[in-house]
Formats: sequence, structure tokens, C-alpha cells
Amino acid sequence: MNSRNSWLRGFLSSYRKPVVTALALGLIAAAFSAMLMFTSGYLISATALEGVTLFSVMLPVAFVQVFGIGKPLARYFERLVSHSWVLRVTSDLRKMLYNHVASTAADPTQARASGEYLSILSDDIAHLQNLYLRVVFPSVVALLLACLATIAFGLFSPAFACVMLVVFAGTVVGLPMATLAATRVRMLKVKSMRAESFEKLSDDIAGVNDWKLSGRSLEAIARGAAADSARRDLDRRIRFFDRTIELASLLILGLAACAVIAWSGSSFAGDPSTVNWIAAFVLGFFPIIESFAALPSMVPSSTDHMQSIDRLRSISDEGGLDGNRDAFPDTSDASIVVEGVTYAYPASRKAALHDLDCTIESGQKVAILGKSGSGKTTLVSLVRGMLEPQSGTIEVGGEKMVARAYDVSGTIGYLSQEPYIFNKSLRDNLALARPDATDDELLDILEKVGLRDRYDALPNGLDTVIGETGTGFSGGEAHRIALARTLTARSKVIIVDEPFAALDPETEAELLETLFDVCDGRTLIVVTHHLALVDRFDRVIFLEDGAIELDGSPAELERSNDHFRELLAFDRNL
Amino acid sequence: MFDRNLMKIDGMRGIFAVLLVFALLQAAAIIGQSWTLASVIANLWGGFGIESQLTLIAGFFGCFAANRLITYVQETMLDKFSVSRAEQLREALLTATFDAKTNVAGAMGSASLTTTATQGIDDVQEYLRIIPPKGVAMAAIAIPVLVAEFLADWPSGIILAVMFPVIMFFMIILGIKARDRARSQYESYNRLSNHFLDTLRGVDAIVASGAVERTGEEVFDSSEDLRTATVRTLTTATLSSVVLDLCAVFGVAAVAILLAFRLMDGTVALQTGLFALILAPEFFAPIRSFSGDFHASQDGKNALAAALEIAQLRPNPGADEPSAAVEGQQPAQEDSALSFENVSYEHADSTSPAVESITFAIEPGEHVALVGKSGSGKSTIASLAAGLLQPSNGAVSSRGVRFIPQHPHIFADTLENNLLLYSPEAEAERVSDVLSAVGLDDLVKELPDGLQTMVGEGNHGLSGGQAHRVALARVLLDDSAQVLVFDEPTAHLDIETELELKQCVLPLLEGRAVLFATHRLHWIGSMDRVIELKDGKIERIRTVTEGGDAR
Repeated sequence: MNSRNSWLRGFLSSYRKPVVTALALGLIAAAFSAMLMFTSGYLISATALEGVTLFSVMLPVAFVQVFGIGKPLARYFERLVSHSWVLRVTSDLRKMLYNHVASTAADPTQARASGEYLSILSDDIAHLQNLYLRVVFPSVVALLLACLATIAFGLFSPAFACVMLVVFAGTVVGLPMATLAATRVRMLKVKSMRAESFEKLSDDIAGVNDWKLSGRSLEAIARGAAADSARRDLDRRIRFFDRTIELASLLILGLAACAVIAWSGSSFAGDPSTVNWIAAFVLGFFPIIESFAALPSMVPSSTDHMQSIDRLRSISDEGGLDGNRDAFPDTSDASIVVEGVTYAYPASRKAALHDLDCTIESGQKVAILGKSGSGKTTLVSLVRGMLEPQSGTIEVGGEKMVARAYDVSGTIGYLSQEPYIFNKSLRDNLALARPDATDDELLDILEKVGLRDRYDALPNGLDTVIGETGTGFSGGEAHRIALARTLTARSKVIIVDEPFAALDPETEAELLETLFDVCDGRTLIVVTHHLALVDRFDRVIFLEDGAIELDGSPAELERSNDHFRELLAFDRNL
Repeated sequence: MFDRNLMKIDGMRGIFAVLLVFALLQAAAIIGQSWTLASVIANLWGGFGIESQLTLIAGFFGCFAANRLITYVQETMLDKFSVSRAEQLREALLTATFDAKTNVAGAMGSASLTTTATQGIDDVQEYLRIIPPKGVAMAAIAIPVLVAEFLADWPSGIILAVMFPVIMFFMIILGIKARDRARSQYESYNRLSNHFLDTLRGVDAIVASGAVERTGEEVFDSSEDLRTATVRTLTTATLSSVVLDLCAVFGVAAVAILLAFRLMDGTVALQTGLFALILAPEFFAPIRSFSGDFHASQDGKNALAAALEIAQLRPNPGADEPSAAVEGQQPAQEDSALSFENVSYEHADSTSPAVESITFAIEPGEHVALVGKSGSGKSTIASLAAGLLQPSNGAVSSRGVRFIPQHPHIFADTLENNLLLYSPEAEAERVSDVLSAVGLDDLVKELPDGLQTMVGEGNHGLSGGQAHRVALARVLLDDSAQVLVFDEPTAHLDIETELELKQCVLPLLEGRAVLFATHRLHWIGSMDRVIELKDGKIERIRTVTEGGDAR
């Protein structure tokens, strides 16, 4: 709790000037609203006295105008300043979160954040905005306002100021804190119930066809409805509690208003020099009631934000990115030598790869096959320099690979199973690795990967925004764009991971053809799950349980190995 | 401004009637509170002792408390109402979603449907809870307060009455301006706010391209651009609330200053002046409160419209028989197990390719493959056969179809409940027989809690091959299944797993009618006939000869 508060305070203090400005403007707005009624009350009382001249009420009239115009303006600038500050913090948080995600992406041993979790984190940042704008700022302003009001009473009667201090402490600090303590556990429960029912519903909707087929849909709906209703009910009871506390707070402040009447009536009445303060104090008190009353129902909502803060804090504690990396040494050839490599994932006792030796010559085209869990992806991650082997060495082009020490994009190009197309221009998508790539170069590459026709059909050429909301690219085309990306990076080795599992056979065959064409002279490693176009490879490696089971040219294997022949026959439907 | 959809909510009329009564009572309490307060102050000012004012002070507190109590009761009532209506709406929405004759999930996308059914319904609940009382208060509190102001001091009443159209005028002008501005900025604004998530999702590509640091700068810069754009939009958008504030405050100040002059003349009594002054802010309070929540309520308004649209969905007009779920199909004719009679399907959404004039029949025990390029309509025909889509023309008839989809969904539940999806009553012995038939017995032995192990999302993960075995087991446990429909069951598995699965599946097909959509040609040797599709039509139907060649 304390560390959480200090983390929050850290954000407040790192931009002292805008925070102080926003709070000052907020206080001015709240105080002016009270002062407007205060001076209006004074003015009206004063003018009702006999023998009053216009001149003697000029000052209160001027004040009424100043407060009347000043309050909305202060509120307006307070909003702009506080939003601007909170969004600035958002920028910092986004960068921090990005650095965190980028460093875990580079390290396969770390838990991967799913797309859904990324959205949650990105929402957390929005929650933090709300916490500051809707809870922290109004609470601090109310606190300051309470102090000002106490001082104002104190100028006339220290004893009564003490009484009001107790009332303010109770309504501004006591009741909100008590509500927070009383509802915290239940609010967390509601939150987890909400998450649970969201997960359950997404699961049911993902399997909606299976439910329809089972004829038991109503059962699924009824089960979800019971949980949903329990959650809403609990949530409603919390709101009822908050509302009751708010009513209590209002009634206390209402009694306090009566006390102000009684106090001002007995202290100021009867003396023409002070009698006008009665209306001033009584009327000035009401705007204060309004700005305090909402606190008990506002502050507990911070419970909702606390988990968000904890998540973000745990990320910021881990620190950011491990520095800028040098490019992998420029090598003469594109050979890969894996020598005696053993690798076991931190959480696992069993080695994913065991004492593996494998030399791939420059320019060789290699297919790697194996069941899931056989070590294909581990081998690829090691070669890409994302994992450090427990023993053994890996050399690319004669240079030793040290895990996560280099930016390898100029040497090794990697095509993942699901190529990601950014919601940006085609140019930005292609030139990710080399922003200085010329248009001619990019067009040449588009031609090579077979996207020239597609390019010609785009409305704004390289500036066309593609991706989710832009021009739709099919699965095969997305792979081609990812391939073009690696060509732009001028990689000498291209590694393709389970490339085209989601594509239909024709598209897959066309893509493989393109891949072979553009990789002429480059080393190509394709992790694949079946034997389509296997004849085009120089070499096929089968992995099983972290070791090489079969290794040879397709023709050789077909001659000498029964299992390979069986699979081949199966694949070709012989 | 008024949302007609509100009236589609059950019992809304009654709620509005009660709210109206509450609001009028509140108006009375507010007027009473102001009047007693003004009287007390005027009397104290005039030299009366505090002891003589206790009754009036008690009266003031009574009105103050009554006003707050009414709010309290009214909010509690609406909270209950909105929760019950949210539950009803959720149920209606899900009933439509899970109805076999609709394809809501396919048309909307699962993710957006899930959001509508969760966040969307919560927004609706919030909307129903907050907006109706505030809307009613704008008229039912403001008008009586204005009348009271007039009766007490007509010049003050005129100031307030004049202020109101001025407020409306500025609100509309500024509202339109802010909307235009927001619209013109929308595209860049939207791209900027999505940019961050887009970057996070594509982080693998960024790492592989060595663009980590540069993109980091970009994230920050684009977030800062977003900040500038937001603040610029707020500059106009919050101007309307500033103007509202300014008008309200100006109204109060004008009332105060005008009263001051007339008090100096002696034409107004202090009590009246104070009453008019105290009452003035109450006239503006309801509209300020409404406009404070107005923008937030737009989410609820849109969510209500979206939810109502889905909840009111009815099955395709073509399919009129009332029977539920997949059994909506006609029983098969004579001796065929599954038959298509001149079936066409046109997609209203573009989630599946259209098919046209499909006619074929599968006899009991016969195995038929469905082949063709992707986009030729294989999956559409399989879904029609399974009853997941309703033909727009023609008829599909069958006896007891069970479907093995391309990506069987494994629910986040125990393995046992996943297996018993179609036949919750199946006996344990039967289950263990089927498990060994589909080759899952070894898996069950390895799992920590056997059949009671939680599987699916967030639990023990099953591989693609295992998920297909579960789907097979589901189907085999169901005795009524006489026709099996497969949709590309093995295409995305690795070749060794595919081979193992094929060896497991083939014996299970014996004695059952089978429709098998696939582009993996090795299955054809195990089929009796092959239907070749092209562009949604049957190109030809061939018989498979002994050697596996198609004639």
C-alpha cells in the first residue's frame, strides 16, 4: 500500500508545475463558487440597511463580478491543464509499457503477454488517468477547500472553527476512508466476478457453434445468467452502501449549516457593523456542501484502479529495455554451425534440445520437421540469438552468436507463423528495419515477392494505410509483406517458422515458390509441418525429443528411410 | 435529444411517472428550504434572537433532508430497476446469439459480441440508472423553481427565464462546433489512439527487424501528438460547459446586483431578496447536472441501441418452422441419410462463400468427400449439413447429423464435461470405451486429475491433435449420430499427427454416413464418392474405385 502510494506520488512530483497549477485552479474554482454566494449574501444584506449609498457597496459588487466570471474560467483552465498533465504521464507510461513488452518479446523464456493482456495493460493506463482526474484531484481540492473554510471561520471565532474542522475532517476524510475500507473487499470481489463472467462468456461465444450443435444452449445461458445476476446484485449493494453514506454525509453537512446559522446569528446579530456577515456565511456555506457531498461515493472507486496500478507498477519495477544493441558483425557467408548445443527452459527439467550438432552451409535450403514439442522452435530461437544455450556454441557466418547481444535483423530475417501487418502505410510496414530504404528499392522488392499487381491497385501507392482498418490483405499477402520486410533488411539467412499452416494448398505452394526464388543465394530454413514441395529443399531434418532423428537430402531419405517414404506416400496420396 | 429506445424498455412509462412525482416533491422541498433559510437570515438580520428562529431552522433542515431523502429513495429504486432490465436484456441478447437460426457471432465477430454482452450491457445499466431522473428533473424541478422565483420577485424571474434560451443557444452552437471539430479530427485521432496497441501487438516483428528503440521513440511521440490533439479538442468541447457555467453564474450575479439596487430603493424586502437569490442557482442545477453526464451517457445510448438490435433478431424469414436448435431440419427422405435438394445459400454478411443449386444425397454408411479450392464453398456446405446455417433456398434433410469442425472449441471446463457436451448422461464405461477408440486413454492417464482435469483456455492446454480427438469422442458418445460431417479436420496438423489421427478416424467411420470436406487428397482413397466444387456449384460427382483412383 505504501509503496503504491509512493509510486503514485512519484508521478505527481515528477511534474510539479502542472500539478500545482491544476490544483490551484481547482481550488480557485471551488473557492470562488463559495465566495460568490458569500459576497452576494453580504451585498444584499448591506443594501437593505438604511442610508446605504451606491459607493459603499461598490466593492462587494465588484467582487460578485470577479468571482462570477473567475469561477468558470478557473474551472476551464483547470481541466485543460490537468488533462494535459495526465496525458503527458500517459505518454511516459506507454513508453515504459512498450519497453517492457519489447524486452519480453526478445526473450522466449519470459511469459508472453497475450493480445488480450496487452489490451488490459493499455486500459490500465486509461484507468490511471481516471484515478487522477476523478478521484485524486477532486479529493485534494476538497481538502484544501476545507482548510480555507476553517481559516475563514477562524478569523471570526477560533472555537467555532474547531467545531467545523471536526465536521470537515469527518466528511472529507473520515467518511470516504471508512467507505473505502468497508467496501474494498466487496469491490475486489465484484471485479473478479466481472472478469470471471467475461472469460466464461468469451469461452461460450467462442464455442457458440458447439453449443448450438449440442442443443443445450439454454443451459449455458442460464448458468451464465446466474453468475451475472449475483455480480450485479453485489455491485448494487455496494452502491446502496455508498449512497447511504453519502446521505449521512449530506445530513451531517445540513446540520452543520444549521450550526452556521446559529453561530452567525448569535455572534453577528444586533450590531449594524457585523450584521451583514450572517447572510454571507450562511449562503457561502452551501457551495461547500455540494463539493464535499460526492466524496464518499467517489473515493471508493479508487479500489477499481488499484489493481491497474499494481500491474503497471510491477512492470515499471522490472525496469525497461536492455539497452541499444549493436548490429551483428557483417559476415562474409551465411553458414550456420550449431555445436554440442543443449538447452533446457528455466521451468523445465527436461532439455528441449540435447547435445545437438548441425552445420548448415551458406545458401543451403533446409526443411525442419517434427511433432510439436520436438524442439524446432527452440532451435530457431537459439540460432536467432534469443536464447543462450547451457552448453555448446552457435556461429552464424563464422561469428559467434551471443544471446540478446546483437541486433541480428541485418543478418537473419525471421517470418513468424502469423505475420503482423501494422496499421500504418505500406512503406512503414516494409521499411521497418531500414527506414532509409528508397522507394525504388521497395518497389523492386514488391515485384520480387509477387505483390506488384496488388501494389498497382492501391489508391495511394506506398502511402496507402494497410492493416486492420486499412485495405485488407489476405493471409497469403500478409506473408508476402513479411517476406518483403526481411528482404528490405537485406538479411542473409531467412528463417520461416511453420509458415503457412493457415493457408490453403495452392496459396501455400505459390508462396513457397516465391520463397525459393527470392532466397537464391541466401540460406533458407523452413520449419514446416508437412512435406509440400519437399523436393525443392537441399536437406530435410526431422527432430524428435530434442535430437536429430533424420537428416539428409529428400532423395537420399526417400531411398533409405521407411518412415520418410511412408510420410511421403501419405502426403502425396499414393 | 430524447432516446426513443428507452421506451422499448419494459416498465419505463411507470418509472417516468414516478420520477415526475418525485421531481415535483423535490421542487417543493427546494422552494421550502430556500424560503425558510431566507426568512431565518432576514429575521436574524432584523434583530430577532436565535431562540425565536428555532422552528424555522427546524423547518429548513426538514426541507433540506426531505430533498436529499427523495434523491436517495429515487436512486435506490432506479438502481434496482436498471439491474433487472440489464439482466433481461443480456438474456435476450444471448438467447438470440445462441439460437441455431441466427449467426450473430459470425456476423459481428466473437470479440465484439462479447464486449456488447458485457461492457455494453453494463453501460446500458448505467444509462438507465442515471439519465431518466436527470432528464425529468430538467423540466419538473426547473419549471416550478422558475415559477416560484417569478412569484417572489418578477424581475429576477425574468433574468432566469432569459438566461435559459441563451444557455440553449450557446450549447447548441458550441455542441455543433465541437462535433464538427471532433469529426474532422476523428481519423487522425483514432489512428493515434490505436497506434499504441497496434505497436504492442506487432512487437515480434519490431524485435525481428531491430527497430525496437526507434519504435519506442515513435510510441512516445505519437502519444504526445495524441495529447496535443486531445487538449485541442477539449479546448472547444469543454467550452460549452464553461458557457453553461458562465451563464448560470452570470444569472445569479445579475439577480444579486439588481436586487441590491432595488433593496437600496426599498422596493424589495430583504427576505424576498434573499429568497430570490438563494433560489436562483437551483434553477440551473438540473441542467448542469444533466450536461455533466450527457457525454458519458452517449456510450450507454449506443450500447442500448446495439443490444436491442441483436435481442430483436429473428431467425431467417425463409425458415419458418418453430422447432429449436439443429433439429430444425426435416427428417431425411426414404433411404438417404443426408440429402441436399436444390440448396442455395447467400451470405448476408461476408463470412462464408455463397453456394448455389446444390443437390446430392448420401446413403446410410456411404462416405462422400467434398473437395475444391478454398472459397469454393466446402465449409458452407458442411455448415449447412450440420444445421449451423439455414439455406436461403431448397431443403437440407438428414437423420442425426454430428459435426466435427476445423477448429473444435475446447471449453474452459473439465475434460469430462467437454467430452459429454452432446450426451451429458453417458455412462462411465461407455466414456472409457470411446476414449480408447479415439486414442485419448493415454492422455487421461497422464493428466493430474484424469477426466476431472480442467482444460481449455487458461488451463491444461490440449494440442491440435488432442482437440480433434475430443471432438471425435463427443460425437461418438452420441448414439443418435448417424451422419458425420467433417470440415477440414486435419489440414493444420503436422504430418505425423495427421497420419496418426487418420489411422484413428478411419475405423470409426465404418457403418456411418460421412460427408468429408477436405483439401488433403489422401482422404479420398477412403471415400466412396467425391463431390467436386467450383465457385459454389457442384462441378461433378465421381465414384472412387478400389485402387483409390477416382473415375
